[in-house]
Amino acid sequence: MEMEKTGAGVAVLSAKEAFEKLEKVGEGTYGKVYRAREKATGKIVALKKTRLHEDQEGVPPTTLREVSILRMLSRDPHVVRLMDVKQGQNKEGKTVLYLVFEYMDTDLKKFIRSFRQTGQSIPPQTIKSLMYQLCKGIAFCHGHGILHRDLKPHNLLMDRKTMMLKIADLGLARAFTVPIKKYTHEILTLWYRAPEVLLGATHYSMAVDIWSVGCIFAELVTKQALFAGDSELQQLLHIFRLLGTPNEEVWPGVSKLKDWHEYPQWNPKSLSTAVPGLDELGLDLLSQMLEYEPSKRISAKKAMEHAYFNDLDKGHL
Amino acid sequence: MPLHHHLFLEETKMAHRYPKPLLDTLYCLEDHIHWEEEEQVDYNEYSNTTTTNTNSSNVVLLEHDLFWDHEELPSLLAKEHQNQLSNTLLQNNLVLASSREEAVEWILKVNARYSFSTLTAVLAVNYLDRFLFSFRFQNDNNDNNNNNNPWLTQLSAVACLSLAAKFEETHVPLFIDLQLEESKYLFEAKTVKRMEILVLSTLGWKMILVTPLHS
Repeated sequence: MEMEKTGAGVAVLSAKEAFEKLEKVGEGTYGKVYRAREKATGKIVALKKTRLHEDQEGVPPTTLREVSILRMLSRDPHVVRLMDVKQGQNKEGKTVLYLVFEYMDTDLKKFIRSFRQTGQSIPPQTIKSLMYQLCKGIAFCHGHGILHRDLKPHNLLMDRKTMMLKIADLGLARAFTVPIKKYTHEILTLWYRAPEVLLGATHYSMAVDIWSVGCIFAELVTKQALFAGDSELQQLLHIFRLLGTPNEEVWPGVSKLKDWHEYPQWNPKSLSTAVPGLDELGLDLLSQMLEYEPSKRISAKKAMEHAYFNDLDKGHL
Repeated sequence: MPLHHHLFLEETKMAHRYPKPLLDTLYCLEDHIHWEEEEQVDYNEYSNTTTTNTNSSNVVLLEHDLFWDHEELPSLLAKEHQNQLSNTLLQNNLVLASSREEAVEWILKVNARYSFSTLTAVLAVNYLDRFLFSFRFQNDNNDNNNNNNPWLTQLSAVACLSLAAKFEETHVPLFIDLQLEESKYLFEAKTVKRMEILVLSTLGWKMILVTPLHS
C-alpha cells in the first residue's frame, strides 16, 4: 500500500521503547498523564497521552493547538516546556501521541490546599513571587498573540523546592488575529470565568485571562475561591454581590450583551471585605484585574510594573 | 483611505508572499474578499476614533492589544523565515507545480463553501507548501519516485486544510464532508488521519504562521 510506504519513511522511536512509566499522576481532557523516566538519559518527564482512536477525525484540535502553541512559547521559563512529541501504539494497536513535558512536582491547587489543611497562611512574599511569575508568563503568552482561556490553580505547575511557577494546559489556548473572531462560549472553568464571557460575549480578548489571574490572586491570599458559583447565573450573582451589579455607567455596553437580563441590584463592597490580609497595594492591583469593563482591565505587562511588586527581588524570576 | 488603494495594498502583500496562481484563484472569491474588506474598513474606523464606540463597531480591539513590545517583531521575523523556502521547489518541477495549483484551487473552493476565514486558507496553503518542500527534499535524498504522484498532493491538501480548520475554525467538518468539492480522488478518514500525523511531524508541529492578518 502506497500509504504504508510513505509512512515508513518517517522514523519514529516508540514511546514504549524510550520511556519507563513510573506512575499515573493525572487525567486530562483527552487522556492520562504519567510520571516517567527517559531510558537514555534517566531524566524524569511527564508524559501526556493523547488517544487518537476515539476521535476518528484525526488529531484533536486541542492537541494541535497545545503542541503548536507550546512549540512557539516553550522558551519562556514560566511556560511548561514541551520537549518532544512521540507517536506510539497502545495495546489495541491504535495510534497514540505522547507529549513529553518537563516534570513539575506539584500545582498551585495542591499547594493552596496544603496550606488550607494546616491552617497556615501562605507567606506574603511567596504570594508576591508566584503572582509576579504568573503575570510574567501571561505577558509572554499575550505578547505572542496567545490567549490561555483556562487559567486556574490546577493549570499552574510548581516546583516546591525552587518555588518556580509554570503555565500549563494550553489545549484551549488560541492564537488570536485581528479582528478577534468568535470563540466557543462554554470554555473556561466557571470560578475563574470573566463576566463578559458569562454574559455571552463571543468576541473577547486577553482581558479574560487577567480576570482569571485576579481570581487566583485572591485565592492565594484567602486559600478559598473568590467567586465559587455552581452555575453560570450563580457565578454572576457571586460577582455582582461583591463588585456591585454592573450598569451602563460603570460598564458601557453591558446591557446589550446577549445573556444580559434583570438582576438584583447590589452596591459594590470593598475588596478588603472579601480578601482580608492583603495590603493596600495588593488590593489596588487586584481591583484593576477585576475591572468590569474589559478594555479597562490592567494588562499583564502593566501588572508586572505595579508598585505591589516593587519590593520583590526579581533577579532570579 | 480610498478603497481601491487599500485593495492594491492587499494585492501587493499577497503578491509578495505567494506565486501568481494563488492571486489568480483569489479573483474567483470576489464576494468573500469584499466581505473581508468591509471588516478592514471597520478596523480603520475604530483606530481613528478618539473615543471608544462599542455600539457601532464590530471590531473588539482593546487598547493594549494594539501596543507592540520590542520582542514581538523579532519573534515574527524569526517565524517568517520558515515560510520562504517553497518557491524554488515549484520553479524546478512543473508537474508538481501543476498538481499544487489544482490543490490550492481545491482548498480555496472548500474554504469558500464552508465560509472559513481567509486565514484558514492562508494556513492551509502554507502547510501544503512547506510539506511538499520538505517531503520532496526527503525523497530526493532517497532517490525514489513518490514525489510526482498527484494523488499525494491532493491527500496532502485535504490533510492541510483539515489541520488549518482545526486550528482556526470553531466548527470543523468531518473528513468526508470536507471532500464534497469535486476532485479526482476521495480518501478514507483513516488515510487522512495518518496523513495529518505525517504532515504534523514533517513540519515539526510548527503550525502558527505569520501573515498580514496578524499585523
